[in-house]
Amino acid sequence: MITMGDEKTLGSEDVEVRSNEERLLKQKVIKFALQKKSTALLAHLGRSKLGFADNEVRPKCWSQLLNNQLKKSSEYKRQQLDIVLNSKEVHMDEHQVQLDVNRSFITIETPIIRNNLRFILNYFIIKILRLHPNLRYYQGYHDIISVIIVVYLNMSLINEQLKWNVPINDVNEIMSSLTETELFNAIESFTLLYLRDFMTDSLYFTIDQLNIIPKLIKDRDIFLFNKFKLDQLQPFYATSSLLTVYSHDLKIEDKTFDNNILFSIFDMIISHRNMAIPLVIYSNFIVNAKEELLKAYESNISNFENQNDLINVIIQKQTLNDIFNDKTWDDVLSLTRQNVLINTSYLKTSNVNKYSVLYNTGSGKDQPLTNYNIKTVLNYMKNELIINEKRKIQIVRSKKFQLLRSNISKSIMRMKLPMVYQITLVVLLLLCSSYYRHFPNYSYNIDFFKQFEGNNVCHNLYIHFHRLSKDILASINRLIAKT
Amino acid sequence: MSGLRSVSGSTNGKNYDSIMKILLIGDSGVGKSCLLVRFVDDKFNPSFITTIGIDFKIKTVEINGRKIKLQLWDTAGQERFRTITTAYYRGAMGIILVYDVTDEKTFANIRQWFKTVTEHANDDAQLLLVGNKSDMETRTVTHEQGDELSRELGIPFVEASAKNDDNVNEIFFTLAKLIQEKIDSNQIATGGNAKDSNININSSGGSGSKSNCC
Repeated sequence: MITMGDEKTLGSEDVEVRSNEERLLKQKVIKFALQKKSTALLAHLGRSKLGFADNEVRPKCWSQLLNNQLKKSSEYKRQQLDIVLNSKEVHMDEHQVQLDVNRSFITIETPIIRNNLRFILNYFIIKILRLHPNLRYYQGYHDIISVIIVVYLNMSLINEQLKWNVPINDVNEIMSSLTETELFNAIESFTLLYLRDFMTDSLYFTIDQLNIIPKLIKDRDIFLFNKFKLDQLQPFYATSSLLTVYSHDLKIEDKTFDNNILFSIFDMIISHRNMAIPLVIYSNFIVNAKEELLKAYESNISNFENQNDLINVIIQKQTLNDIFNDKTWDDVLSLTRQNVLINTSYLKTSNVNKYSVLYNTGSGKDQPLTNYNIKTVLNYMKNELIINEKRKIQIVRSKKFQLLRSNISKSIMRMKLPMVYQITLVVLLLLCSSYYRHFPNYSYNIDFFKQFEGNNVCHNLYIHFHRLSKDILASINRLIAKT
Repeated sequence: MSGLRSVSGSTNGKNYDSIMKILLIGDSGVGKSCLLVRFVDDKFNPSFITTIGIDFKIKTVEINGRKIKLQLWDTAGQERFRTITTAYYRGAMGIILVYDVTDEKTFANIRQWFKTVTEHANDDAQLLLVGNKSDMETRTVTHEQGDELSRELGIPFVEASAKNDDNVNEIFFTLAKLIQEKIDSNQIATGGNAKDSNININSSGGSGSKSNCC
């Protein structure tokens, strides 16, 4: 393990020289591990400071680890080739992909290079979607794939490569078929191992993952947790950080095509085989910025009518501030390195589905040498899609239920009855509905409410409440009799 | 990145007379963020970054001598993000429904957005329909069509171009004025009458003239 000394005693120039030396040294060790094909040593190197050091060796490290983590049989690869060659079937999300590709690589200032990168980005996203038509594209996926592309193309050499200065019509004009294959394999493996949960047609599993953040903070700083009532707030503030693994905000720099902090986060995920890392990082950002957050809270309390809006805004803005601060990243990443495994009890008390990446391919357990067969992983995905559909139906039903209930209470309030009666009826309605909610069959609940639509509301409610109160009275009587 | 501005000078601890929460919604790529950036920062970038989840900016404007702090919430257009963005509809006083005049599909989807608004927003939220990219020659939705839809939905309508800075300020000022009128005629109360906001923070709490965030 390579460690850094205390930088505070050194001048900034010295630090730069030292960190450069450190980088070169690390590169040498990485090259050695690659030569020896030692996956364990590579993973160890990827987890420590600087990650895989630079993009000369990084793609080789990623490929070595990812190919080890997700096994693709030669039969699968042949099938894959056939499908891609023959498939003219357009994926339903290709229009959305186009919209986002057109807004990608905005930090790259040379138009031809930017456009060529967009061409490549579009090519790989479409290829993955056509090969796995049941995966759904989400906004932010393009940011992640942009990162993988830049790493594999070794863009530091780009300025010397004349072919980049003309618009391309085919990716083969810019990369060898070997690079294309390696790059595609990395994209496919990273997607299936780590991003699967995000690739349904909803955000249910994304939100399940986000909900782990407050649990992590609760353990670290109960005061902050209570002060901001983080348990009562959906952690939507971290949405883009999680969905894009920070690549929405941390951008690839123009000319150098570098962003070592961003790349090293990917290094950590791959070498720990752990997709909880973005969540751990976010919770560390929040705990780390405690003082600033408390200050921002006090000074903005009068600017918001809604507590949830306030907390969401101050956390999102503070984190965005910190994301552009290298020093904060040093602190947060070193904290994350010390405490990378999340306690599985968080998962147990969460809503995370049992086929989620956090339970298997990205769990960080038995790291990082466990390997998965692609068939198994595609099967996880299939199961996740089924659970996603079930959730959707559940949510639609419960929405219908609530809508009916609110319609009925509105119609009660519209009736020409004395206020006291109206209020009594609404209370009756709420009592009945909470009683009937416990019936396992939701459609029964909906039927229950349907009979109240129309003019007989009072009468029917009365009858139902009468029945209900009789039941309650009877059970009370039974209790009394027992004692 | 941040469009936050603080307004200095205050006598009562507050540097504004009222706050308005305003949301921009509409399909992906219609130019919601571009309109917002044009209004707040007076900038335009044709390949503006994709919004993921929700984003927030603030701008203080003066209407009829009153300082109004506009809380502007920018949302992601892709359908899946509605789970997140609708959580922010609560308490919004103004909602801007944006479509792209060069893309009929985004215009057709306005009805769907309108439905989402009626399901999640306060009944008294002021709506405004905006056809963006009015500078483009490749227009496929006419001004008349926009007008017709706005009459059908019973909401005001503006065509605008974030690129040419046409009518962009008008969008926000028109909306703010309409909301102000509603407040004045007591249709909605200033203190925020969100359907069931957990906690109502009293605006008289007072704040420093310099804020960390907003």
